Amino acid sequence: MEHFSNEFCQIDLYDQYAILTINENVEFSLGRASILRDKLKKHYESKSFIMISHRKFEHKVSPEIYKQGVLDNMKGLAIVSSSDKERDKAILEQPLYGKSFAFFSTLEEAKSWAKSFF
Amino acid sequence: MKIYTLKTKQYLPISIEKAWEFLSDPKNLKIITPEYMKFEVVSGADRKMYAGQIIQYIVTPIAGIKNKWVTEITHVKNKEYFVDEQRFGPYSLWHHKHFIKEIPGGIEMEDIIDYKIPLGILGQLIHPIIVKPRLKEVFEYRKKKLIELFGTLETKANNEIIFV
Repeated sequence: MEHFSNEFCQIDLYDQYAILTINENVEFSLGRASILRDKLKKHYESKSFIMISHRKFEHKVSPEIYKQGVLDNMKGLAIVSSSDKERDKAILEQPLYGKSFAFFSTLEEAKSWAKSFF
Repeated sequence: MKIYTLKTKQYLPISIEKAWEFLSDPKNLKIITPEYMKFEVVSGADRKMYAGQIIQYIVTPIAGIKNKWVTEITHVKNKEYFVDEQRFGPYSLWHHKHFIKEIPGGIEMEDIIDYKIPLGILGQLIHPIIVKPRLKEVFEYRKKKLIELFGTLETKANNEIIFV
């Protein structure tokens, strides 16, 4: 596993999935997404993986990242949160992301879902 | 005598256990049925699904007219399929097969419904203008609600609703 962190996020890169935690009050913009995109490209190259977005902290996600910032080999996106508010936000994000998309209340469920693709 | 067939497929990012638990519980039908239909289970849904189970519902599908439906669960195979058949209700025939199977990342849910409308030729005339669009609407709503509840799974085949 490779761990990476910077001023706006922490990411753990496993073989089949990446767990992303965005820091509190951050606006996850296209510019920030492209930093992660480079990191993911370098780690996974053309290998498929699932992105697990662990929404531990409240933050904003720009809709633009779905239009321009998603890698082809990112096969699915899991949103993890036990908060109803985060779930409502995720329902709005789902139509923007054209691939497999799931909600989970625990990280363990999301990891198990990610593994079921491989 | 015209028998119509409606086939739908949807892919959900959940385990087969979770899918079976949700889909085989008649109480959850209210959640995935449009609110204007005022779907209400009157009796028969107090036990886990079994063959021979009789379930009574009240639905208000068109123009506020209340309809009582009685269906029988005729076949059940745990985590694979179940069949419900109308015993009393608005259709001359309603035979609904619900299949689920595990696929990478989740499950495929397939529904096949064979149905017949009463009133002979008149029934056949109203099918394309009232019954078919209403059924399509009900299944589109169900698809949307299931995506809201569980998410969606991208597959080579599309989520689809087909009338034959």
